[in-house]
Amino acid sequence: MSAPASLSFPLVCAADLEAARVAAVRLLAPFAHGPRMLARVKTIVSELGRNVVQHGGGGTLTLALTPHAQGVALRIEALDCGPGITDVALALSPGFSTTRGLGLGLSGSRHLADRFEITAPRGGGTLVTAWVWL
Amino acid sequence: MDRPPILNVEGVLLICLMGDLHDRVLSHLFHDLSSVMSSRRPLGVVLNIAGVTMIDGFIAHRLEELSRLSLSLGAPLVIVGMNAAAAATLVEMGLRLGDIHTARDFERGLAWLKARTREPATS
Amino acid sequence: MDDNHRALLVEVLDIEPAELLDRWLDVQSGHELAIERPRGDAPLRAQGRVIVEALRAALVTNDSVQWQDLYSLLERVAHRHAHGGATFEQTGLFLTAFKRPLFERAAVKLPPGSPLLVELLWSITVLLDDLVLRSTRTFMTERDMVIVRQRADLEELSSPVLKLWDDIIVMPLVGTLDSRRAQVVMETLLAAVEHHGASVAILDITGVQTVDTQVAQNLFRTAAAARLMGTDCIVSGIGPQIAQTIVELGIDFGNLKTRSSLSDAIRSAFSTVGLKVARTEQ
Repeated sequence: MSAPASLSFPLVCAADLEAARVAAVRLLAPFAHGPRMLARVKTIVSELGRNVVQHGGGGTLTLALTPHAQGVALRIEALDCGPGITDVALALSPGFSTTRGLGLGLSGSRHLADRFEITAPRGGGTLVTAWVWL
Repeated sequence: MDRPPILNVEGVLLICLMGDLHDRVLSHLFHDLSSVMSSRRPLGVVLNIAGVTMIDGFIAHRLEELSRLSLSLGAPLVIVGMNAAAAATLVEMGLRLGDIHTARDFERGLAWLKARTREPATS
Repeated sequence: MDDNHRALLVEVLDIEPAELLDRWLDVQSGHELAIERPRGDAPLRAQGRVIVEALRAALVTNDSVQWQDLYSLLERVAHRHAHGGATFEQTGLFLTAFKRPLFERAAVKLPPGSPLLVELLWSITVLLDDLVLRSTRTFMTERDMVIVRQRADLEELSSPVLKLWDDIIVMPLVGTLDSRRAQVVMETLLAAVEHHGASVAILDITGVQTVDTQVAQNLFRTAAAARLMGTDCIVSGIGPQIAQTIVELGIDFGNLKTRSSLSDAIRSAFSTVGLKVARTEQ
């Protein structure tokens, strides 16, 4: 298997999430996984991506396979170019929403991921990173 | 398939959704369901999601909206056939589907809708 | 152990080493708790020889590295015994039996009743007891690991889901319901709901020891997931002790149906799916 270092997907509208979801499934292929793992990964990609499109004014989703202590992890990074999330705690609380949608996109994914981080990169915007151990 | 057909079965509207639910599909469904329901008086709506592989928070919210739409148009919506992976993932995320009734399959969903219309509404 | 005793003990070990091993195995096998092997069994004898050599090297050099080698060797021996199904008494006995031939040789070497003899015997006792303690500790750790693995295997076997009737499945739960196990239970139950198309699932917890808030949370989550799939759950087997704990902890089962006995749960399940049990004309 010669997997690329990372795959990036520009996210402008909800339709762009499809390509990212498909790619994530393909990246999982060589690793033993059941329907649960598949659902977890697709849901995280879908939710983080949707947040970028709806709240972040567009951005990019990047998928990569990275090593970790017990093996390999799938790293999902969602970077938006919007104003960023000024209050991370508020964004992570269930029910937070600035537009329609349950607004549970971030807190839901946080429960699904094995590791979860929200940072404000120097270039501006918000970077949400989720890791899933494979 | 962007526009799943809405079937009329034994007085109930049946919609079968498959694969990943794009926004397009859901938007069309809102539109199509409201236009069908305004001309018919079904006992209820059965949404079969047996083929759906993933339900995230957004889709869950849209389903709740669909249910509210259906109720406002005079009939309850029942969701049937959710698979184990989707159910486990939703619960792991801490999401519920609000007050939407769920059943294992179309048959049971239909039975529930029929039983409901026989009994007078209590709430 | 002081230098003098060490030197004496080395001399004792050097008195007819082959016979020393024979005597050791004899003493060992004569005990009712002995590790059951036919006399003169090569592996046990070989183990003994290696232990004697390592002990001798440690005594001669008194180097911490040599002592560590001896301890590691004993750990491996205990490890092997544990995995071979020996009890820890048997492993301890194997080592303490070594005292006898050492005492006998010491008594030959030093004049009877001499204070030096008494001190040497005491030194040997202290040394060997320490070795026994070390290896027993290892033994217990290894045994624990074997037990943990066996328990895991047993748990795998003990979450079957039974189809009671067309629409009804029953999952008897046994043992503890910690978070790890709860995950397996939920996945097993949901898979069974999918497989059998059940609209009622009975979770029988008669065999579950403790129900605390965590266990209750796990049950609620499983029931919530089943509900999303269109299936009602009933928790049965809540005995008086667990009922008391539930009240004390203030656990509210909310919409989740509970019954004290499995038969009550079955009755409720039949009612839900619209079935009735009727007596036939005899």
